[in-house]
Amino acid sequence: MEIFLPIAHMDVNLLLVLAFGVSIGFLSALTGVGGGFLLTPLLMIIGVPPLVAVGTTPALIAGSAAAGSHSHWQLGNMDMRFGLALLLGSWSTAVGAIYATRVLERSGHFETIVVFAYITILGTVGTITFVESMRAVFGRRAAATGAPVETSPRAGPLGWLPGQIEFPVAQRRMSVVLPLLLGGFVGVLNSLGMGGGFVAVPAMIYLLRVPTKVAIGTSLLLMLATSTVVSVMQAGINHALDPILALTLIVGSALGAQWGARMSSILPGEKLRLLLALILLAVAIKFLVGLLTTPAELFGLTGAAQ
Amino acid sequence: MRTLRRALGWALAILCCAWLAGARADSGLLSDLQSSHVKITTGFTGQHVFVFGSTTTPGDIVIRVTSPDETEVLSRKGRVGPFWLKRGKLSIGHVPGLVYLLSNRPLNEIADRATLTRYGLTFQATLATAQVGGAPANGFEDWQAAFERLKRGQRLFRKIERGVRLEGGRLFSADFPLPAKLPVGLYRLDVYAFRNGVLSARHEGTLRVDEVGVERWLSWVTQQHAWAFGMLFTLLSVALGVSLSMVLRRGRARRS
Repeated sequence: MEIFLPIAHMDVNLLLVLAFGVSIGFLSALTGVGGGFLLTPLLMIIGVPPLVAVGTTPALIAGSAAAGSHSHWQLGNMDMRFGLALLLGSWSTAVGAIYATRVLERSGHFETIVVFAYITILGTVGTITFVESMRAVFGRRAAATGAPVETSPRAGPLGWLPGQIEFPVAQRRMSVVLPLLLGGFVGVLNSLGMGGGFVAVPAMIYLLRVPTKVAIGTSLLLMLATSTVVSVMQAGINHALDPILALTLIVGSALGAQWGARMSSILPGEKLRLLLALILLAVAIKFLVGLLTTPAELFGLTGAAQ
Repeated sequence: MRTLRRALGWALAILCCAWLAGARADSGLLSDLQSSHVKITTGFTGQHVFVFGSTTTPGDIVIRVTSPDETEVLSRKGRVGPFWLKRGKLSIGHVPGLVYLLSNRPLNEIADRATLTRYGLTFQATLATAQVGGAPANGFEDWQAAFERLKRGQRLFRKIERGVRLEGGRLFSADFPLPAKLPVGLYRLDVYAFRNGVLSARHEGTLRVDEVGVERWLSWVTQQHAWAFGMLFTLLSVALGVSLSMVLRRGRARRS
């Protein structure tokens, strides 16, 4: 069942795209990671132009983050002051990154940058998840598997940084520079279609020592607000948001998330994380092999004026 | 189904040719399309186009279909350390996005190469008038061959020999498939009649390829009102994400 994508200017199999959405929603609900960093390369593998793949994913992330944000906001798991500092960082870098995307796309180097970024990120996240899940599966859990219990209001080794602020819900006092830097990194990832929650949550928990629930709630707020701005800018500046592709993915993802939520109590979490790690590594290896092997066709055509 | 369509096409062709012949018998070559408008909708997966016509002098028929000119970028990969990366590019303008050459027998049997080139009935002739941005060097020396190969791979450059059917020496028809991904705009449809390797008549027609309905509206709004579209669509995505999640969660809670 083929469907025409008006921005990508190509035919795709509707059921295949729906299946991608279902898989991403399913994996997100089961493993807790967003899935944008897996969706963008999958779309590129089926032939969606890199700019459209990168430009459409934020709309899906905004939709799924909004669903999660609502319940976390009601539970009071969001530190608004901390979230605002993160957002100032992410919005600043996202704006720069999207303009850089435009320049790179015109110079013809965007695909190369995206492929290298994905090999690095998927390879790193895949390896960490693989090691962690292997330890869990074989019973040699790391000493700290949950959130570190931290009640001290002082930040430890980086207490000398300027702009120390109290973050009440996060129960932390730290320099505003830290959330600005973390937000800045997430902004770059988000504008590359990767979301960034998979970096934000562990960084908040393990580096900034924010309680797990607050880290997840504030990360969802960060994903929602950053992805919303990135999605609007990708449509406004790069004309890269494909509405048909995004709608299909959002519907698929919502269905997959419900299915994943139901299965999460049945399926073993460690083995699922192992499966996720293997998928991430497989996609990274696929891209790497593509760069290392001699291409069958050295030439390529792009930029047809429609 | 296809046989029925072809039979209907033929009947229509004969009727139209009779009418056209009465009206403009002096031109020597007449042609028309069963449908002169290809409508691209969300479900568009390509379309067959049926051309028919008549000629007063029996011979060979060649049909050249061309879309509006475009500018494309031809890039070439090269080795950078262990990686194969894009190393150079060449801008190629004033080339039709789509070129189809249909004939009743192989083109080289219809006329010699010089004659075919003169009337633009080879891909090389089409590319010879292209506007190339910069000097073709560093692996781009034979860019025409690479361009043609890639266009053939996308089914945008096609040579369909024996794609034109002749009936009784005077009537002809052709039925060719357009791909799902094709340039939009006003296409030219040039029909050439050859007799003993010499052009005896020529007829021009047009074919409009357009996005219609929701497809056209989406294309317009995403290009002309990109910021408003981005804001509204992102809000819709957020609202859809929340509402679908709530509806499906309620459904799940009711079942359990």
